[in-house]
Amino acid sequence: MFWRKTKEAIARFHPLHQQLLWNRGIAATMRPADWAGLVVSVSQHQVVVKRPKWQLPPQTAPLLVPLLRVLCTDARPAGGISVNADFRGANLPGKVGPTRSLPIRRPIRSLVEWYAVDPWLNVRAELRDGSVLRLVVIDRVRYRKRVKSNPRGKIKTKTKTKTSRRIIAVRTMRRGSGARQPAAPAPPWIAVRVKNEGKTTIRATAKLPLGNGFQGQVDQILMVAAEVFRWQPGIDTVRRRRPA
Amino acid sequence: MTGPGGCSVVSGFFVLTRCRRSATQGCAQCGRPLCSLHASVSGLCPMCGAGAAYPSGVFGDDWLETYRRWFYQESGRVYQDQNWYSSIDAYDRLPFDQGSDHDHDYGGEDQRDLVDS
Repeated sequence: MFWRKTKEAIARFHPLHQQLLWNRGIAATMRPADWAGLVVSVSQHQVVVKRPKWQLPPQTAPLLVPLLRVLCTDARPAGGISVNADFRGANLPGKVGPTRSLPIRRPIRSLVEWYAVDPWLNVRAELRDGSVLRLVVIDRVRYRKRVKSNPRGKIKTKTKTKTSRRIIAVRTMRRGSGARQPAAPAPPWIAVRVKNEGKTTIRATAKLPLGNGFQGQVDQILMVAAEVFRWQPGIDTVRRRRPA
Repeated sequence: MTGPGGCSVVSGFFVLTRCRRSATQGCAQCGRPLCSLHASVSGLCPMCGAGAAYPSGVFGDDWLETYRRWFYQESGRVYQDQNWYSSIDAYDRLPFDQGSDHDHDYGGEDQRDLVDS
């Protein structure tokens, strides 16, 4: 039987590692130590699996793993980290919207446009300071399919895509803890909203073009997340010992 | 913040905290107190170890320290917030910050070295 040893090795991988491989996505809630186990398992993939057909989604090592490591180091040891990651891509039946035709002129025969909305990452982590972080990344992809013919009747088709990414970071502070505005305002490309109803909630939203490479995308996501951590708990809410 | 004799290694990425275990030795380079968990075989703390070695990949042990230092520096520049970068302990920046006495000339000082004998 072909690839028998590789199949046996894959069967020994972390269950979520296998889920990433076969389903191109994961959805789970675990403690940081358990996520660290997944990271260790993923690190062995390139060593064990050589078959191109069984490679992990390209986002796994350079994008998902850094985010997991950052979340694991900030999360409460007994707190849960929920990760819902979907690396199947945007052009899937459930994600694409209706198509529409655009005006054309010769030699273009048809020009069709449609959009796909791909919420590929949704994370919730309970942090060590008692706050809860929620990270959502949504890609909005524009597809344009153009059919063109040359004077000899040869038909060519070209599809172009343009992706814009919306990154949303929400930090819900623990009850009774306010938020103090940072001295320097956020850059204009990040919209910040603070709600003080019950628990204080800081929400930072940014709409950005796709980052340069996976490392650039990690930097983008964490850069938006950094805004909600620049808001420190308010001084007036810190409990102080009454002077004797 | 850290009690006398407590390990002063900073952990976390956005939520920074100190280790605070009882220190057993000092870092061979920066001198910060270290517990047995954070002291490497070479006697360096995680930050000095990361600064001394080549940057490791995302699966490496010192990736988080190296990336955290770079990220705070870069995000401090993007946000134009000096307080944000200074929120990491000065100890953590020390192995990467080149001081005024840093020698950029890796060659010999003597110009005669360039002349063939």
